[in-house]
Amino acid sequence: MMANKKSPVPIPPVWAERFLNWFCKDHLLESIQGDLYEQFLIDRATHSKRKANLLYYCHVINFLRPFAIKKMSQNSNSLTMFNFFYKTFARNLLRDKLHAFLNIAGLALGFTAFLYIVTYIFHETSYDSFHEKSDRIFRSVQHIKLGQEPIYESQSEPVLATAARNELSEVEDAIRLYLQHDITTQYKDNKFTENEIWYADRNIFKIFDFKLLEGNTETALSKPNTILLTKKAVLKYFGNEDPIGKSLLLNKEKEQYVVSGILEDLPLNSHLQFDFLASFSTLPRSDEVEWSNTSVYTYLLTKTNTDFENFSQKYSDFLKQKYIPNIEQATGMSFTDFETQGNFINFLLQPIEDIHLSTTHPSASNNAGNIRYLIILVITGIFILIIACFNFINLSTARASLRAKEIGVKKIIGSSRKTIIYQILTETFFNCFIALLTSIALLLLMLPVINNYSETAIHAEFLLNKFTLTTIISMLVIVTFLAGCYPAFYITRFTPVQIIKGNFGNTGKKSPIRGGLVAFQFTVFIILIFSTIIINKQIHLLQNQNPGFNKKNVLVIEKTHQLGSNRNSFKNEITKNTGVLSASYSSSIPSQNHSGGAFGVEGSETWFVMDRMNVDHDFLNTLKTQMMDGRFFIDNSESEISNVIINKEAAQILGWPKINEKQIYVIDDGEKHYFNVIGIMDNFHLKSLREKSEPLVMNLVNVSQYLSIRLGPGDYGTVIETAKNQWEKFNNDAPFEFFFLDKAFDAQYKSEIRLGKIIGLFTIIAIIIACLGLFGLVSFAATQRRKEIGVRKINGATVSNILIMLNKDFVKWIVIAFGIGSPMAWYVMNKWLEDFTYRTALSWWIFVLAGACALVIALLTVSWQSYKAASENPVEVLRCE
Amino acid sequence: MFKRSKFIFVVFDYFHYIYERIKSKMKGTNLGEFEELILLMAGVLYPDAYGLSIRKEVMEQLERSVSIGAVHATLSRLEDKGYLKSHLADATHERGGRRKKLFVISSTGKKALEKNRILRNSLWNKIPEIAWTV
Repeated sequence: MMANKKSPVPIPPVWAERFLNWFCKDHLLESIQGDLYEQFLIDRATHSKRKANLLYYCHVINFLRPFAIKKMSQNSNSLTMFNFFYKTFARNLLRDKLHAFLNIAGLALGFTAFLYIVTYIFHETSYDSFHEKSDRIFRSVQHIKLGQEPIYESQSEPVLATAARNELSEVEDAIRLYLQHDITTQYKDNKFTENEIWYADRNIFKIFDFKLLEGNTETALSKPNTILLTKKAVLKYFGNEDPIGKSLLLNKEKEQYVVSGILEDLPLNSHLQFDFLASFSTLPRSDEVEWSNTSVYTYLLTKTNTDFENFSQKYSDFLKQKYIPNIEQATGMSFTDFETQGNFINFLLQPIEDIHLSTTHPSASNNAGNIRYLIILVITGIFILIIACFNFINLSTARASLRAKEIGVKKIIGSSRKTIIYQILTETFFNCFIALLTSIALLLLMLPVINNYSETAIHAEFLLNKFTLTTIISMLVIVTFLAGCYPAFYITRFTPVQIIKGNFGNTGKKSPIRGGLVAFQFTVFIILIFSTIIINKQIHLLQNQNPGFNKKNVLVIEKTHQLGSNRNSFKNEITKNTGVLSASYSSSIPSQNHSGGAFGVEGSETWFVMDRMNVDHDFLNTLKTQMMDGRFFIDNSESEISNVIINKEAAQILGWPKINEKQIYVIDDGEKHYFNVIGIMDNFHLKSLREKSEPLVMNLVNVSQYLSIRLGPGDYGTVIETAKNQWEKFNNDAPFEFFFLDKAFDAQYKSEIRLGKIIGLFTIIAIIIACLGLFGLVSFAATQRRKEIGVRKINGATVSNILIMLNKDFVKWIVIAFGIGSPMAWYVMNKWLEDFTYRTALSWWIFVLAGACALVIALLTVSWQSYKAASENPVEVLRCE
Repeated sequence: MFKRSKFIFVVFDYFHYIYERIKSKMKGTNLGEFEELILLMAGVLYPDAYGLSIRKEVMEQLERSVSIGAVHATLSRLEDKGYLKSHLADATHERGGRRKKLFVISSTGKKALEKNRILRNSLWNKIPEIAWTV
């Protein structure tokens, strides 16, 4: 070595040479090495050392061709064995096709369910990871406690981004996003109302990796009144026209927005979902420097190698300093007093990848995930996989006696136990592999159907990534061992003498382990069916519980602000209709967004955070809510303006059982505005029944956003028709949009309904797998005991005697499964129900129903086979001996 | 049987086995275009025809890049078919003491080349003059 180091002769890379030595055939090695070395010398003369080394590597790798690769083991014993295993496997498979079908179908169903969950989980956890800098992007969020309940706020002030960029050294860049709902848009004759229009700073492409198909990432959003459209939106508005440079008209005022670029449609796993991205500088408040008015979403990009712990502390302190004057002005007390009352305000940095599954600070778009449902799904998926494994174990051990002779003979010839275990494992692997291929095909085939059913958006391409591929391979290995180990050890533990003499277990009969496995399968099944019933019952309860108002027969017309000053006449016209009992304007309506505010009480230091909405005097009649004390607004007169109504919840936190003389106030622009409380209304649910009613204060405002219409008996079609005509008379531009209150209110339970559907689907898969197993077991037992049954019948046993004999074991195991499953199901569902304010009762009859379902399904499966065996003519069975 | 390395061998051997079977089925006596070229080069470069010199010549004549591995693979295939004979030359210093494997066209190789040439010539002759004017 020393001599080599000193010599001027260059040496090719050692690892490449070793690698070549390792794989190359011996008789070719010398000439190949020689050629490569010669080439290496030439390369060294003409290229740099690095380049020459790299070329050497390339040439070596290029020799990875069949002609040069040596046979790895000198005698190919293992290969012969492998081929042999394959052959025995194929023969066994073809010999008993029913058994093979049961085995593979069970596994394949289990795999399909599991794979579906894996792809779903991958989708849910991959949110926003496509941004190259996703580990450095954070959203600025707040956690505030002011008064009673802590508030989680995802929005921040427009000035924050600038301040953070200029004053914090760790921040590389910052961007503001602003979301506007329900904007009317128009291009030529194409008029739509877009649900979401986003506004973004010009530097958006420096932080996020959204692809711009046309346009310049630097300048696309630099000017006011420019807008980017996704490909989808371009198609919707412009068809095949080139949209660049054309103008889109937004809002009622028909503001012109010039299309400056086309965005690639956003990836499904982005928590931001927009089709329209306008420039932030368009907004009138874009240069605001006040630390008030949280209205935008702020995302920060930190510099590389920023220590997150330190920075988040610094960040929170930094923003607190900015906020203190604000708080002191709004509450009228010093910040230390504010904190000593138990209030706090914290500023947090939320990593972008956490936003989708966050429970406290969810994403602004309407596709937030739910981490708890993910966990439920994973557990269900694993259990279904285990059921499938147990099926396999049951079927293979039950049939062990058929293989016994083969194994006995092998042992006598001299095969070791290890070899036979290896063989069984290989066979299991083959089974699993076929099942896996089947399940992938099944999944791809079923994906559109499943997506449609469970309202998910999973693409086949999700199967082709590192995460799912690793999961698939590890699943294959784990299932092979889980399903193969017990049968392998079970079959091989007998000595050849035992086997050849014929007293190799009595496999058709009872085996505690097999029974245990059946019991386990049915335990899972009982839990699943119980959950399905409870979830559906809970959804039914949520939809039928009285929400404090009458949601039936209410038609709501949205976005009435587009009628402008015509709103009063519009309402008058509508109430003239005979099918309308009453109509009312309100700033919110159950199931829709609403705002809140902090209220003070004269003579008290505490602040009360309460929801706030504007209603007119017809609200009580239209929604049929109940008054508890005092009165509702009598009319829309001036004298009522300073009066408010509070709900029961608000009365409770204020500590007022009855209305009294005290006034409540809000601070607006530093001034206190006082209100008389003239009535207490019974609670009604603005949000879903999942949560309890929030405290609420209602002001009297003549016209506002929503017009709810109480319909009388009769055909509501005419009401809609006249409302539409009136609408078009007052405003020809904006589209007429309405919904029925009960539908919108019930739609809030979407995620529960989805969970119910998915669990229901899994219940069906679980029962099919378990039944396949049972069917296999009992049909095998029945054929094994044909003679016994024949003899029993000759001695006077009736068909029902035989049926009872064959079925009673299974019944026993299902009863045990019921005993184990019921408390577990009760526990799990009790946990799930804890989230809800209104809970359905876990009544005894649900347990009975779930148990009965399991029993009936199992008995039907079992009896099909056992009845066939029991009703056979004993002469047929016994005559051959 | 359970050693990990053994398992890799099993997989490896299995692929090898498949490869051998495919190869044995595909073995024919036809000369591919690249094979013919290499075979001719082995003749042209006589008596110094070995992997690298053939590659150099091919690259110069064809004006395209050919990897050493590809040349070696073809040479070894031609040797398997019996068109080339090989022997090891004496060791030299430029090759770090490794011997060259020198190739010579065998009589069957010559026959195969001739067969190709006759076929080609006869086809050339069959092309009517008029075909060239179009």
